[in-house]
Amino acid sequence: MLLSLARKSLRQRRLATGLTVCSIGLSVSLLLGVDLVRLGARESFTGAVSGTDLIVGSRSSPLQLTLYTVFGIGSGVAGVSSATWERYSRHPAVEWTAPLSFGDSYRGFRVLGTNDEFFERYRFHGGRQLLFRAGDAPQSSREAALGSAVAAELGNGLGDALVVAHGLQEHGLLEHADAPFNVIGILERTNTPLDRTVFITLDGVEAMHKEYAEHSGDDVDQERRPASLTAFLVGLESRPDVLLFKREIEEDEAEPMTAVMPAVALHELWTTIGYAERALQAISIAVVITSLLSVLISLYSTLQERRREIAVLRAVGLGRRQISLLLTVEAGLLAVAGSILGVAVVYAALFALQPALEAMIGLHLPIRALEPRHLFWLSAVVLAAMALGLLPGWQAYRRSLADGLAVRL
Amino acid sequence: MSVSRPRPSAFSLHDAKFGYEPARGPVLHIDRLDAAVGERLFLFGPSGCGKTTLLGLLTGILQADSGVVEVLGRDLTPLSPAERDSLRASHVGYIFQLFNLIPYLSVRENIALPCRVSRGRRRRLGAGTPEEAADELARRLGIADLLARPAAELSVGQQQRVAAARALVGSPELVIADEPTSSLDAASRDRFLELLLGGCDRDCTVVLVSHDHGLATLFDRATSLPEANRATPLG
Repeated sequence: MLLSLARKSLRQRRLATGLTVCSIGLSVSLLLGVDLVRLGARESFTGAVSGTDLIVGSRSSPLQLTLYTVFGIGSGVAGVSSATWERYSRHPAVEWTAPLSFGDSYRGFRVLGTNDEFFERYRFHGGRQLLFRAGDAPQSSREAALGSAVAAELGNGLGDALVVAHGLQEHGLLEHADAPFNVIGILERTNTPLDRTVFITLDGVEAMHKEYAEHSGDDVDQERRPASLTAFLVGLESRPDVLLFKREIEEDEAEPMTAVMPAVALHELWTTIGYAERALQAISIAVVITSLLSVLISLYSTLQERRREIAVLRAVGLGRRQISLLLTVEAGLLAVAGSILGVAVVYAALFALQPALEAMIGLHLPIRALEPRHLFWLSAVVLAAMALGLLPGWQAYRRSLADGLAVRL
Repeated sequence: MSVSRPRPSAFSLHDAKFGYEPARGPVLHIDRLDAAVGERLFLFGPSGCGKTTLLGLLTGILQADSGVVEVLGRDLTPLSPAERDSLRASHVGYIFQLFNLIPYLSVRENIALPCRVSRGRRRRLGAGTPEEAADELARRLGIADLLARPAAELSVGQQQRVAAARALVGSPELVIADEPTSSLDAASRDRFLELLLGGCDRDCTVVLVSHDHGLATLFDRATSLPEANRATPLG
């Protein structure tokens, strides 16, 4: 009874109701949106590498090593010798290794020199494997494969020739003009930085640099000696040995090295930048509170004009408690409608913006179901609105005592 | 004209006092006022004579400070507000001077409202739904063509007839009308009273308050509220 009265009363005041519902809807969509973006960003960040037990590079900060090797962020780290990599790849505790050689670029995209082991063993987003959309992994020193974003943005296809530059500038200062690469493979999209990477073989890196050195006549490329790698990935036979093995690497007499567990490092990093996400969340909560106040205002502002209506309801037998309940129910209905609108807006925005976000900032936001936490928030919004509805409800309760059946306006 | 006695009373007030602020004394003090079941009582009441207060007491909206207010055989004074609300909902029909209708409900919904609010009122409908009862009453009061219209679109005369239908739905024992005709012209006033009084069952008690002496002839008995009220009301 009260529910249907409340519904009809709100429908009568369409404009005010609509505006209040929009206000709640937008704030709820902001709240959910921030959280979904946060989850998506965290997953695409911490999921960029998985299934790798250690990243091993020369001695440096674990963060720097991880950021540079996984995301290409920050300055390059000093190299680690190929001999060391080979030594560890034969270590009895090691199941597999994959070399990483960075430092060159192709039209703004990173070039990674590596081997077949990388394409076979690299995992991301909880165990997904690298797959080729077309062609295959590079085998010879003249072959290259492209990440999906590289292929899409540059329009390169199988059989095209690339000229790789040293350094990461858009137009490399030093182009290895004599060493063109032939595209023989294009990877499926991974939503990781690998999409923006050109893959060549270690031989390719070496050949390119050798030719360059011959041309310029001197050895400008000290740190990029062919015998040196940026880092290498390690997968262990037995994962519980990882800490032990990490220590063994870091205490290696032959070369000072750092070994990082990528999952741990990424998680730590995400935690340290977490204050920004908490700030965003705090702001969106503040916005929700503001919009809840709009419920209060919208109900309060109608109280005066509804005094006669309330007197009539009293006369047909509604108690004062029921009158205040009516206003509380109205507040609850506004919040429910607003929440539904908010959820709809979030999903509409997700559908609409997903491709653009992915193309522009490489952030992949999966269309996912709401988490229990979100449902809890939504019910909190509704309950808070109803709690706020008690205020005008109480006001109506008091007035209806004074007014009784006689409303003097 | 005398009514054959003894008949049970629909309501009776004995030495009932009520004041909004205790310090300023009662605005209403009625030594004795009652109506027999089925009686049509006209209460002459110009503004400022405690009329609103009296109706508040009779409907259980207000609670007497002292004395006895008995409605349909029950003393209202010891009842809780909720009990008085439920008594009003099931047994009393009420008509305001103006603005009787809930603007966001249709005419049909307005008429059926008391039966939706009160289970007691609905029970007396028998088998039919409140809406069927509303349709039936609307036919009797000549407003069947308005049933689906939103209340906000009606003329004052139409609104008052809808209000009468709402007061009568579910056959309450007591119908109270507060100046129901003061905003109607003479022709619609007579028509309205004819419909209201004709629409009541024989054992339904009707109390109508008005400042218009001319209406008294339609009623079994007329009483002057200023004479009955021994307090000197303010304003």
